[in-house]
Amino acid sequence: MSSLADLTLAEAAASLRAGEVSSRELLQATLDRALLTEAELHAYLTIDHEGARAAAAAADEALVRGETTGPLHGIPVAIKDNMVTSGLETTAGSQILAGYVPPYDATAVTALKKAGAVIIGKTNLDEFAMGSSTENSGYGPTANPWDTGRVPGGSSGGSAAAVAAGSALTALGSDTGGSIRQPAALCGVVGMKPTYGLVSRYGLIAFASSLDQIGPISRTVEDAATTLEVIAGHDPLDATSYRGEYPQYRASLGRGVAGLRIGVVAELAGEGISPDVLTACRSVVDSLAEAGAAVREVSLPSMEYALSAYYLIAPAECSANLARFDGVRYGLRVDGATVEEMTARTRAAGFGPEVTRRILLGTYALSAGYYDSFYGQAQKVRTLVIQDFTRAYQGFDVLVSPTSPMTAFELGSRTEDPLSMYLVDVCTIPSNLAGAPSISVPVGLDAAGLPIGFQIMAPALGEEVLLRVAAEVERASGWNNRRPPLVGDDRGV
Amino acid sequence: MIVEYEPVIGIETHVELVTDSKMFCGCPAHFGADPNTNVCPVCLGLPGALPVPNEKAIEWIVAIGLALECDIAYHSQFHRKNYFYADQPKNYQISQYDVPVCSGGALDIETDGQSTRVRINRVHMEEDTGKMIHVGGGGRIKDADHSLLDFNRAGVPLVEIVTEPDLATPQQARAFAQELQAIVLALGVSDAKLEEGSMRFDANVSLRPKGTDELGTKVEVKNMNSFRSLERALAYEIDRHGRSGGRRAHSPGDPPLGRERRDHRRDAVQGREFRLPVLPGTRSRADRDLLCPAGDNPGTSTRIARRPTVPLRRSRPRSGVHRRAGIGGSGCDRTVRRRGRCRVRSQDHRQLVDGRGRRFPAT
Repeated sequence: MSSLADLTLAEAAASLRAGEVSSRELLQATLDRALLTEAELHAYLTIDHEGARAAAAAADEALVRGETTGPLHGIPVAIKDNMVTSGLETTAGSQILAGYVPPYDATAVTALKKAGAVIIGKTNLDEFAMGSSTENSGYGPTANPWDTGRVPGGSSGGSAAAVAAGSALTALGSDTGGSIRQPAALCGVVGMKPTYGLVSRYGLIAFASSLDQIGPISRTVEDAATTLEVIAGHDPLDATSYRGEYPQYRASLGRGVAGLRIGVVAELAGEGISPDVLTACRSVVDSLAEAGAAVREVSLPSMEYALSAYYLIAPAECSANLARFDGVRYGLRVDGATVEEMTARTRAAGFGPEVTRRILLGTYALSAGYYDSFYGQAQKVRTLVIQDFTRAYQGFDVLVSPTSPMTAFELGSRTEDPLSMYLVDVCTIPSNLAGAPSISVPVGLDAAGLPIGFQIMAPALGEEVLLRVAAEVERASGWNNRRPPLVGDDRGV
Repeated sequence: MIVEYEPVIGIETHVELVTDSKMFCGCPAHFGADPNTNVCPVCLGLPGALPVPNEKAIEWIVAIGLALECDIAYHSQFHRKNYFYADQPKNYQISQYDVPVCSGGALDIETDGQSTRVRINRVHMEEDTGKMIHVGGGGRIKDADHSLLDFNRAGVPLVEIVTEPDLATPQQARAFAQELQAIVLALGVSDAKLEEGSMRFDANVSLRPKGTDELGTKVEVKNMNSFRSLERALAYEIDRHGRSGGRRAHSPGDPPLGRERRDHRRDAVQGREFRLPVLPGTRSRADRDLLCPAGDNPGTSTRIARRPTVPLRRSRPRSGVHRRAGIGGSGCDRTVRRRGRCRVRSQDHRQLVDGRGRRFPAT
């Protein structure tokens, strides 16, 4: 590797502990990389040079004293800009929060800081995490490091692009319908959505409360497991936080897949999936069988309704969650003659078209007289999806599918047709509806040289088996922290 | 033929609890502080903040429910009541809809030596709003130059007690309100001061032909701040209503009954009913921030109200109330067990600390 910025988190942490590099050097390499790539990528909305330098210096001093506070000690980390950071502007990608500086840290951010992580800055996203390409950001899109004419996926496109490009060693994203896994797939990195409740949502600006979950975006499965270990844990400030045991996730890596039962979801392995993606995923499935797993096809009939149910439930929840942005207490305010007029003008000016569309959809779906036929029906489908999963997991340890039906598409190619954009999430949404964990692992490139992601799903709290299979997929694919051409060795970085 | 009408009255009572902390955060729930000092990310509705139900408040609403002979729900659920108003930080109120903590009780009252049984429809938990002070224009929002907001009250635990329409006279309504205040004071869970708004009465009144079961068009009498004004306002409405044959709905053109009848706080949305499923545009749904997470089976969710522990220090003696609420004495456990227990994911707010180990609010 030509730069410290291209190390994996595990390599960087080992070098730090061995005294071979300092946190300041790691940070400098990362900031240099950002300097080199940001003009093309726009992965970051805010880079906190001052704060990051202070944190790196503090990490180095602690290392000198022989104190290492955790596995992320001294590691440069990026945070999706829908997690609040005390004293650091947080916009959720929306103009309605332009200039908003929160007075508190999200619990996941606090956990990172406690672990000694160096927070570089806040990454770009689709406004309020609503989108699949990061083109809905109120601050302009992010580009894909593998082809800057293409989208990085979304909504955590900034975090995925930063980790892929080397302007962060690991990052946090949030996943409501695939917003961690899909951009990870499109950018050739690992992205994981943990079980609902495993990572506190306190300080995550809510999109759809019953679906949102924070998770890691990293270069390797091990790095994702390391990051998850730091941010997972019970939080008394989140009433939906899981109260049971939190295992050491890295312990499950490297144990192979011999004896595991792996189900290939039939509904997510045919129509609508690009041939290159299907071929790559089939080859992974074959290698899992060769490694000793029992692989069979399994049918989950409710999958075809999951997308429709999601696009009722998520907008319905967002319509209530986004009501608080009214110009009264913080963020943008456009004056009016009355409070009502001020609120209406503020919201009209502050929200972008996709957010407005979803608020309207959700408000309609929840309104009296329509509640049962829309939201009520969608909740029934959600129950069916959960039942389908429960039934499938009686015979299988994990389920697999492509992460995204297609590789990175061209910027602007789907923005005119919201429905075609919604279809991008077809493979990832079921895990959110079920509150279950799921991970995307890069497994190869398509004919155009764009990364392909492979998705593994497990039952709720099945993180260990999920990561175990993910590590085998990673090993078998030979991906090995492959770098995008933008920052390849030939660039002389 | 002359039709004789009789009034039908139902009462909704809001009671602010005197818990140490607010309903969903660790901020002090007490009055008298400087404006906007008892606030934190949760009760200001800042982006990313989440509610955590106050265990003590749930215990106390159970105590009220038991004192009113209600059934206590084994599982309860919060909903969001959505409407925009500047004093409401999230632009929805966390309230309850289809599964209130308490339902189906009764309270016996006495007027003129006659006893009347007033059925209680439900007793549910919600949060209070902030306070708006309109500056200029006589304190009315329409004419005001500008308005000031104080969010100290936002998120204070509020218990709503809803009767069935079992009251027949303004005198009975007054007796009911007084008896309910006595019970709340006996339990020591609220100051129940009408003049300060820590206990507020709204009454619905309609007229029907004597001897029939039908309910006529109802008129709402809101936010009465004394027992006398409650009784007077009802008498006025019954009289006015009676002259229109029991069919007259409240209209903005009606002569106002002094300041007693008007809910000045809500002038801008007067006439709009926030009962949950009723009017278009009024939406309510389960608050997904307050449901059990995956892997947490309901059988292991937080147990609350083993038996209500109310501040006996503050409570006043009142025959039967403590016994019914299961407080004190050896019979209390049995009482509560018979009534069932309520489970909501709630917790002791003393556990609420921010990431740096500080209590909310971080001042």
